[in-house]
Amino acid sequence: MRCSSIVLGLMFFFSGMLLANRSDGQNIRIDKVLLSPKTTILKAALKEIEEKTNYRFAYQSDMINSAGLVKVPANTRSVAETLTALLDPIELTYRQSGHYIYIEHKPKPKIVQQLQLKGRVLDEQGLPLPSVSVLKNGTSQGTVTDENGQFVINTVKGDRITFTYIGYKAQTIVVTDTTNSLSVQLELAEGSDLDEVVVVGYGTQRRSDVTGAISSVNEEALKQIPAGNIATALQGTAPGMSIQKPGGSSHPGATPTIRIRGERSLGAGNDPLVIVDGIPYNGSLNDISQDDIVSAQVLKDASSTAIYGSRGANGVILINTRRGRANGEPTLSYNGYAGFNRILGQFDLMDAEQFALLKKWAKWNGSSANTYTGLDDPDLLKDAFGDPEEFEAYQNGGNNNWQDLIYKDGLMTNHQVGINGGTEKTKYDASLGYFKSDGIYDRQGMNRYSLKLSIDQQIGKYVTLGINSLNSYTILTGMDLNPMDQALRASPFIGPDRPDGTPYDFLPGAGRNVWNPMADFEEGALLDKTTRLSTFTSGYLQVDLPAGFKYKFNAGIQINPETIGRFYASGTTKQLGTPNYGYNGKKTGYDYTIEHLLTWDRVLAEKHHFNFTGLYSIQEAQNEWNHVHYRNVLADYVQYHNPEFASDLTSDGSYEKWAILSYMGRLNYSFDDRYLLTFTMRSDGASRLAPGNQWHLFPSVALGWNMMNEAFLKGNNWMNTLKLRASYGTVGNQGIGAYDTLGQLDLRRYNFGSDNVLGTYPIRAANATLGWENTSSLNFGLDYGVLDNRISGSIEFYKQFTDHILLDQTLPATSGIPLPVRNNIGKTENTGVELNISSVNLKGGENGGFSWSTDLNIFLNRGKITELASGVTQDISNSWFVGHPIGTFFNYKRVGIWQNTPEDIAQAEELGLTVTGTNSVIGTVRVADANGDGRINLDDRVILGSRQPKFEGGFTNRFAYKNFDLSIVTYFKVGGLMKSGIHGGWMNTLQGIYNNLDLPYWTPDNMENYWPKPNSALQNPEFKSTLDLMDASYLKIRNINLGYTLPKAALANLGVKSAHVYTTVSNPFVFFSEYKNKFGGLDPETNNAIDINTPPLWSLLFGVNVTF
Amino acid sequence: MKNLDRLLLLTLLAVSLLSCNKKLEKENHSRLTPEFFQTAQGFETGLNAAYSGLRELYGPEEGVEAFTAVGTDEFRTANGNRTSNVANYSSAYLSSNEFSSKIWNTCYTYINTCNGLIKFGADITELSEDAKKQKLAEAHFLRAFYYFTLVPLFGDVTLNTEFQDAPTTAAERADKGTVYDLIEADLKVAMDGLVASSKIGGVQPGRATAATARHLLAKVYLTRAYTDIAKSDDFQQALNLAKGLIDDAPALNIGLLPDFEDVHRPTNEDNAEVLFSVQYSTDLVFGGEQTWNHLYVNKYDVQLGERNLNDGRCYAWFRGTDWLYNTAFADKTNDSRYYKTFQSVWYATRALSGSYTIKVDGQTHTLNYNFQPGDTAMVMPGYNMPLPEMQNKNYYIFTPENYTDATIFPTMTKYLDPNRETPNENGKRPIIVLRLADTYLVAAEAAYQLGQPDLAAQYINVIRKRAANEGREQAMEVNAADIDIDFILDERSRELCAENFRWLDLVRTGKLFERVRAFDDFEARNNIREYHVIRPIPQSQIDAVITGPPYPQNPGWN
Repeated sequence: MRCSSIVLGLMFFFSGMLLANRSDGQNIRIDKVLLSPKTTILKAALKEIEEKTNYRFAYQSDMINSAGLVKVPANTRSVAETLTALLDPIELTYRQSGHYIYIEHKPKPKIVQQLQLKGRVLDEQGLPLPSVSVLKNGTSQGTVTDENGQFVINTVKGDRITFTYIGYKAQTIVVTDTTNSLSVQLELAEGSDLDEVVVVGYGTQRRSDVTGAISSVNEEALKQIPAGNIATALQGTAPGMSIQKPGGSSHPGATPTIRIRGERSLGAGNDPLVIVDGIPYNGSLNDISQDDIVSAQVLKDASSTAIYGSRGANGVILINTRRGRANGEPTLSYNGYAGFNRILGQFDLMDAEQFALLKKWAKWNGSSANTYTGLDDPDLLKDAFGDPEEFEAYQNGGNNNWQDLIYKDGLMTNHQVGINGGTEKTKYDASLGYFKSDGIYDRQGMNRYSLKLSIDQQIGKYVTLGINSLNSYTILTGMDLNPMDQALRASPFIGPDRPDGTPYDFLPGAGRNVWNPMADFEEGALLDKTTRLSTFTSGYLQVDLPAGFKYKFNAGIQINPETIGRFYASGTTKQLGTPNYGYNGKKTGYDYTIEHLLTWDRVLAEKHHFNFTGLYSIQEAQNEWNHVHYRNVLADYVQYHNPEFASDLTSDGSYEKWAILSYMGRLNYSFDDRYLLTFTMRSDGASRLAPGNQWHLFPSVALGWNMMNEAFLKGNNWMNTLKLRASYGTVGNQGIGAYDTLGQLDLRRYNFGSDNVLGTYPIRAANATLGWENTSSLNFGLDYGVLDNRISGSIEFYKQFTDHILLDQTLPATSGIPLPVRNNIGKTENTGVELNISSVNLKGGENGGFSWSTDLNIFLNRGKITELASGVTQDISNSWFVGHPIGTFFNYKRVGIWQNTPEDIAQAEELGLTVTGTNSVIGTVRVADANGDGRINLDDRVILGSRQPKFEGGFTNRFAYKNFDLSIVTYFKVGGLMKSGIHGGWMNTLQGIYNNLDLPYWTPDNMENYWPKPNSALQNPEFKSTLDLMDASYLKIRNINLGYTLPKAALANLGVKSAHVYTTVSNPFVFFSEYKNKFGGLDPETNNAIDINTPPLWSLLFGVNVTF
Repeated sequence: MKNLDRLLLLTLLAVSLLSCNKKLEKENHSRLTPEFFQTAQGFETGLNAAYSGLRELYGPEEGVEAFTAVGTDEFRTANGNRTSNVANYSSAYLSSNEFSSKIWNTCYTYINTCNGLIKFGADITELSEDAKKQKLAEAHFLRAFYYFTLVPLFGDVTLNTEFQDAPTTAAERADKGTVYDLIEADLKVAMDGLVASSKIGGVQPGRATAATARHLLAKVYLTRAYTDIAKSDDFQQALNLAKGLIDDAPALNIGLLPDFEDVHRPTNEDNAEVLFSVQYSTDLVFGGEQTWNHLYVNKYDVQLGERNLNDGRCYAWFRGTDWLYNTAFADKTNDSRYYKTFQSVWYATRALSGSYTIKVDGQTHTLNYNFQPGDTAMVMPGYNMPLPEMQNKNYYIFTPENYTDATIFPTMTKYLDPNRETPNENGKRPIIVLRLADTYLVAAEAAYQLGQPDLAAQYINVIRKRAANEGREQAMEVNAADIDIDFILDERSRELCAENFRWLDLVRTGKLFERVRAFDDFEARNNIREYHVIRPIPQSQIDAVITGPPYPQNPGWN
């Protein structure tokens, strides 16, 4: 009801606007009126017309009173003719709206002459500057300069045209009669430019008008890090945005985890909303070619995200792809690179001798006393092996490094051909791209073919429409394959083949549990292929309406059907000799957004600038999955292509559909470019939530003060930019499953003898009141620029309060409901500071002298849970503690190793610990009796810390000399804890069964105080979970990029406009990492834990960018 | 042009705004919700699920065996495994151990399923009254079964009798007496509503019958009879029920199999002696998998050079104690059960030759082996053979004197599954949970406690005579003077070893501490403490009860 009345209202509003404002007054021309001819005062004449017709007049009294006498014409005429006759001689005119006729002053005769303004933009050295934004102030009409710095734009006299380009000071000119060919020279800005145009939600703004906390990343910065997806390229570039590999995965198709200003939700997800070309993007970031992206904006505070109210709580990333330019001549470009991925190192495992010694210690410690005479007892060695074949291989000197066999260099290459151009009325951009990255495990890789097309077309004077289509076909292989679990624990005494040359299946040793990892490399034995055709197409229709109104219809649809095929032959590490396995997965669905936008932009009385945006939007998505699993495919070569030839088929599927409806209004007001105000209201309804709680209103307000434009600062010569900003508002989160308000039954299969049956049982409780999770945030920002903007940047301070948290609450088993329940309970807070400094350390000056600039960003976020359900202060099973951040580690406190000393033994006995036999604690991890009750048990667990870093950030140094350029991108994180799956995994059991990480384990002589003794009697050391928690700090050189721009003169003859060659090395160095330096890890980068995965990579690429 | 604009705009508006409120209605096609339980099909599948929950207790590595088989006088841990701390009663055996939570969580999940069935079942109109009564009786039986899994292990537990569909983070422990009352009442409903026995009326294998309920209730009375909440007639009730079932057995077409060996023979799990089993089958989709076939297998692959299907996958988790091999089963002449419970011969799959050392009366001797595929490769005769008998054989011979802690010991064979495809594959055999031989031993124990040792001897003799080697029946007989609680426990070992009763038997009879101290020969005997006679409430339960009073832990565990 509520929704439809608003819609109805909105429809009237739109249609009323259309009809009223666009009316040319047909009725007034047909309706006749007969007046008595005379000379009288205007007021009387108008009154007579009112009496004789249905029309009513509206006017300002003094205007009518001062009008003097008018001559009423004879004969019957139309109302229009009559009014013209009356008003024309006294310099008045009229305007009709419905039954009302407004009397107004005749506009001053204005000769509006369309000028086609041509011109050229030059850089500080007088060379043509391409890609400069040329924008008519107060409008969105504009263009960019071509490769020769030239532009064409339609203007009228008096228009103000602003030229902006990253790294240069903006320049504004006023169009005069004489302006027809223009030459504009831009000056280097040396720092951030407040007049740069930034994309904000539903529009663009000059940076100086922005009131929210927004970080921008431009094309240049993005290009520095060639990667398969945009998130990887964004790492370390924007304050407040933390980007980490999920679980440390090095799969070429792994997309990083993005967190903006920390984490606030416990159960509804913390992923930011991604908007591509104005439309919410729900697909994979792998599906967008980096080459097509020209900028990214990160919206962080409530004011800038509030217009995406429903989904803005975790921040918003706006991604903009390239559009055509009105530069006449088409520009053809080629970007390409090729190189390799290589492992950053091997995991440090034991070699044959080390492992044999470990086996002996494990067996020694895991046997009853007096079983063996000593460590040199030959029976101990023999029993430690157990497997006669492994023992024989050891005696024959077998020493195999399985990792050498698994890894190889992977090819990484990218090619993109683009064409870009257009005229004033038609602009286009198209590109064709190919990206390929092979993993260092040859079953893993990513291939992407992409096609992009965008057209903007102006029709007539008022209508512009455009379409933008991003299409890609992505092939991911080996997403579910991971050789490491087997390869890292395979016996180092054994090679892949038996002495007679036939390959092993189960390898000798390790209880014949480890399958020959090389079996997976047999052609066709292990297939895992995901293919996705993604099309993300958006279109708009924009109509310029009178009086500063603009209407825009914006719609986008994303369709990305995905198919997955997997086949694991019997003799692979996946099947371990059991029947082969096939799987087909198929996803279909769509996801669309439709928006109606009305904007009004007016400057009143010179100094009052109003910009109003109204929005109605609908987002809807529907996804369907089908999966088929089967065994016993009759012939391996059938693979996953025809399940008909298999048995034991099972199949399952799922369906989901959700929608969000939104109404939004935003007012931007600025006074004299000094005082800025943004006020936003958004109302959202989400189908995911429970009826009755689906709608919520999200308000926000922001203020800005451009102090530079104040008299007291104007004209000073050291400060160039100073702006204060403040915002407060609320945004929401509804990122839960489409049907999480419903209860759920799970499926079980069972048999009674040969009768097979299906079973269903309750696993999740319904929650009929699930509503929005809301985050209110307060943000203070300061933008500054000093010394000719050589030093510039911004400082942000924020505080966020999240309540009604959508959380997954684990229930006690006695509740009878095994799965956690979704709830709206609890509160979190996040406080943070973000600092961003850009500085020009050395100016290059004329003639390409040496220049050096630095961008530095540092940010910190302190999150904590402030309230949990029912006033409890801790929820151990979910690891939530009031006063502590999300991601808190709660466990025993490790204090060392129980040493074989009389004191330690006495203390252990006092605590009731076993000090004899295979379960003796001597040589094992010693944990603190934290509660001092004289016993070691679960009550001794304490809070050890959390994932949350103390601070993190990035810095980029750029150097240039003559035609050479060099950039170094660095990322750092200080503080916080991480969990290492490598140290917690099967290759670190110290049981002497599986090969082990090469660690200095405890022996009675070495007094080691971190790693416990090996023990064949335990599958894992006691309190092992206290050993894989490590400091997460590190500093990483993300990228070093060295480039050379070929001299233009040398290229002219080849028809080449510009050419740039470069070489780039990614991920080469990691410093200051405990995980790496103390524990032998490779790369500490992860969002949470390092999973057991193929090793991290570094890559070396050579590339070229050419334009023709 | 202008008109076209307008038309276009209005059309767009109209299209996108049409019936927008409807967009916020949920359209669920892929999720079943608890309301489904109110239909006949939902009731049927809910019952199937309640049965299938038993697979989480009987079959997986983290199932009930860690709490029943090891840490007793029968079995000890051989190679390091998940149960080591529990089996050895080491100081690292804490309330966070996985077995407490696995059993606890499973039982409460399916108790709630049963509660749902009991709540909605009565109102389902599509089912005939007979069918409804039968199925409701099954639900009551399963609820009792799950509660009777919990109480003997954990003592006072939370009692849920209503279907819980709203989340709660509070819980309390009920006095175990009230839980026993519910178990008793449920089993009485089951006895009344269920088909009389598995061999009457085409009952599917694995379904509970009235016979199952009668046996279980006898066991419930017997168990309660020893506790501080015992009712005065508990032993009598136990005896009456067990006796009744034994007497009715012929009419129910059930009974002891003539040969003890057939009881656990692969593919014969649906035999006349079986009262209740957890189902598995070779169907890869519905049949499930269990790992219990691996747990008791020794490391014969050291001697044979490789594994094979018949002899199993060498987990070597559990090894019999010397007491079990040599004392409980001391009589290997009259009693056939030693050789029908433990493996004594292994056949070669590869040609191997060489020499090995053994001890005879403490003296070391070197012997040779040389075998071809199909030949005998290894023998564990079960007694200390004289040296001459061992010489000049071309296979390995290991006498009890030569058993090792972790490698060389006889495999317990009750769960072996030779009908798999590869040696490492998991088992697909149903697991026998309750069988009639136990009914006799329940009757005997109850009779003994009621002061009728002659009656006890009578029931025990039925079991013993069935187990006798041919012509040795007489020698197997015992009389009233032989009967005491230790004898009954010994007899239970011989008949039921590894059938997941032992720890419960020892706790029930108050003998756990004493017999582990006396008969364990590894580490449990040194480490066991008085408080180990009850299992710890899982820490996950205690941690998750965050509202109301804290969830109490069992004594000694905090």
